[in-house]
Amino acid sequence: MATVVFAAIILLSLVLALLAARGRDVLQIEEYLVAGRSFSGVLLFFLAVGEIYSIGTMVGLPGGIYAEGAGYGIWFVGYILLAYPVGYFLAPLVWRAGERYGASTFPDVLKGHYGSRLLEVTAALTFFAYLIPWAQLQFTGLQVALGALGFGVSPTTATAVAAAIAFAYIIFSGVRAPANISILKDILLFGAIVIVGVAAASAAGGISNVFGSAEQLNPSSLRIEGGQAMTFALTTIVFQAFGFITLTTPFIFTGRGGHGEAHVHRDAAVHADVPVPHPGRVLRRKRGAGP
Amino acid sequence: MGYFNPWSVVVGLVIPFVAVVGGVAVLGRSEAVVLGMPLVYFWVFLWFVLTTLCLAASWYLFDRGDFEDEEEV
Repeated sequence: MATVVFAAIILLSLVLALLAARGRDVLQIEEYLVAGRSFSGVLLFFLAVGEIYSIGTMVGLPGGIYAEGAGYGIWFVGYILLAYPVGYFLAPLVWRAGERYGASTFPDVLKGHYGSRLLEVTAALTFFAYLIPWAQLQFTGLQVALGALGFGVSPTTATAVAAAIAFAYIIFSGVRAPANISILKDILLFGAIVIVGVAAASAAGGISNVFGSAEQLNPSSLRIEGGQAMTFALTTIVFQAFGFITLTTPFIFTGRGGHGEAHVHRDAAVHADVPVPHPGRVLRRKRGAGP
Repeated sequence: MGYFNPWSVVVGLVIPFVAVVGGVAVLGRSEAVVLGMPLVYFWVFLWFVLTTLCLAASWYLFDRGDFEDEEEV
């Protein structure tokens, strides 16, 4: 039964990925990377929510609390929570800069704004270097999850198949694939989190018993004990609140602008030769205000 | 001219950061239990809701006017 459900969900996600490309020329680079900057607020919401959930949500976070104590749990939920206030202020600027410079990625923005190829390449390589351990953790978590399903396939095979499927999404539909799939993913994960939470609390006989059981496995899972655990939690929350929202900005470029944005875009083109100290300062003004 | 509304920054950014980071620093070792949860967990979960309210306040009270053209779409 579990195998049938699992296979059905994977198939459904592949269908959603393929349908996403229908009627679109995904071979155009702007369409492929940022969907022609056409996504609505609702789709952006699902993409933004989808960025939160990874295999770490289901496997890494609970495992981290058992292994390292409360500091890990508080760090994990704390940095993701604070990433959104940072994003609230940063994302509109990044979006406007993307529109202004025709950027599809964060390094494109740096290239456009500072005119430095070196900065662009450095940023791109930094992102790439950061994503390698991240991807490795995802595959490790995936092996744990698939192992629990009891398919009996080797970790290497499971990883290769998962990578091939994820690659197929992107090849066929560009950014529209993860956008479409994020709706399915968000709904499934939200359901899973609620169901697992309710099931765990009722099986343990109340929320306080859930924490009681955790304390038996690791006495430090209820409180942040020790100065080092506290320092780790506090500094990592602040650092990653900024890092998370920067690393996950690519979806911001897919957003659709309003009338004001179209005007600003023309305005920026007309005044392209005027040095602008800060892109947001000019672009933030209301329509008609001019630079 | 500042390009963020300072009140918006206070409500939407400074308050959530101070509350979460400061709250964890102060309450992290507490043995108190609220609704079955250790206080530090309860505090962070509480700020999931309060941070959302802070951002809503920033938007509706301070920032919405600057983005009104985009609202038309």
